[in-house]
Amino acid sequence: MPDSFEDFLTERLDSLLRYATTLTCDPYQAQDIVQEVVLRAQPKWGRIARMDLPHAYVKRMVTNEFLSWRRRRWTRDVQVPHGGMEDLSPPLADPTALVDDRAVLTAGIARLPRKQRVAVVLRYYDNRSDAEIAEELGCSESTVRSHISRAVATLRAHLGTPERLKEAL
Amino acid sequence: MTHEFEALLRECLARQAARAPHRAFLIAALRRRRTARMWLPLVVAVVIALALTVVVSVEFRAGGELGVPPARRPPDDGLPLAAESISDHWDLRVPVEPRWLPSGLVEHQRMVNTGGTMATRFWTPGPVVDEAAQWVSLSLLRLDAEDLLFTGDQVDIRGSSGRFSPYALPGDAVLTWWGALGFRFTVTVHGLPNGREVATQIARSVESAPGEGMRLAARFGAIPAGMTPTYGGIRGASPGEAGGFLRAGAPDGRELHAEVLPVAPAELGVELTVRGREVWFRSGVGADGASEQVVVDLGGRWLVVRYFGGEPDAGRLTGLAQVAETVRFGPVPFSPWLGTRPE
Repeated sequence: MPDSFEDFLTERLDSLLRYATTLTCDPYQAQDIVQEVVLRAQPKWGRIARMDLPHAYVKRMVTNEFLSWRRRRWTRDVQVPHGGMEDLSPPLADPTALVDDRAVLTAGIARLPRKQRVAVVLRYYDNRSDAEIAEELGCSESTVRSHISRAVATLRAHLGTPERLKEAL
Repeated sequence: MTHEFEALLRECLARQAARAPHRAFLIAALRRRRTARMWLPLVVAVVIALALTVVVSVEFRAGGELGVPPARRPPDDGLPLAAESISDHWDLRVPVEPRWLPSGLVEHQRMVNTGGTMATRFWTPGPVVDEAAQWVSLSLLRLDAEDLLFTGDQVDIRGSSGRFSPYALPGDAVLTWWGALGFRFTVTVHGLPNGREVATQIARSVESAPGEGMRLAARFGAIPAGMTPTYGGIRGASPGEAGGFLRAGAPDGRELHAEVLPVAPAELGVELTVRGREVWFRSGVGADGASEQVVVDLGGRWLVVRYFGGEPDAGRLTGLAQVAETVRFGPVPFSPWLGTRPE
């Protein structure tokens, strides 16, 4: 167990940032979410540190912050119409020309509903079991399986031609 | 699900994780947030620190450890130093230029990072950058092609899709867009009214400008343990007042700045003698945000070493003095762009 909050940050901050980035698909948003969590965890560290798995608790704080954050920010974010992106193609070489399945899949992950995205990340990035994911999300294991099944079906549907990427964007 | 699809999914998530921001950015942001939340205790802490500085300075003047030769100097627990010397040349060519800037702004600084993957130019109304109330910067950052997913209000930059960062600090406008394959441009407007409009107009005026190669030779000698050099650059109010600067940082957010100035900084601190040389030392957070500062008179120019390490600690004096002794700056290349603005 880390002795102090600073020790905890030294050991776990990088993994929290990586986890938050897989959830948000946006490094800036990931940084903001982890920042909020760290600011809220620090005053309570005395209690958190006494838990069996302090890092798991803080990680769940990140998950919850992501879920609530998205709800809070939804009204402020400007949604870009699909057609608008096509109209604004850059004058120079477009990096999206380097489309491959990974790019399509990455874009697809970013558009998954938030709970599906959390379930996918916990399963395929964090290697959690259905039971562990259910506990993290506060739902049943069958709901977890449903989230993952739907997410995988959506992602598979996006794989294909480069035109699929434009749909995903 | 097929094995291939699962492998692809895991690879995508791993690559997404690899895009995570560096912890140093978060530590720095946390420091700013904590400072904002706890300004009153900080004022008290600064007052106490200033009082301690006076006490410590008086003790030093009385003939403490400062007169001890380096070989016999006791270990400096306040600021452990890394033994390894680091040498670097800094290629300061930034091949882009905005054709429009708000009136009154002139170029004051150019800097590059250690990997040569980022270059930045700064314009200010006056000669100061770090504490300036208003400034504009243009950064060129080389990233891989997958770093495309960012959110924020959208704006057209001459046919390219630009985004305003929704996470900019209050009073700032941060506009990012892809200007060419593999390069991301960022305009930051700080402290100016209508920041987003200003940023957009600047971004739309950016053109390539090959410019002449310009290389600054500078290196740190001893630096605090855990730190690595991060940036090098040139700044000044005019070509005749150009000075080189170096920065180093640590993953926990600590920073070290070393700079040669044509004039002495405003907050000199207390005059002391270290290894037979007159230096000025300040411990306590000043207007520049540094927790400690060591200034050395180079005979008409001034070497300033600043440490940003959170709570002030006068025990860092000997370590910072050693940083000042070992840092090296070569001749500053002719910098005709200082004090000018786009024609």
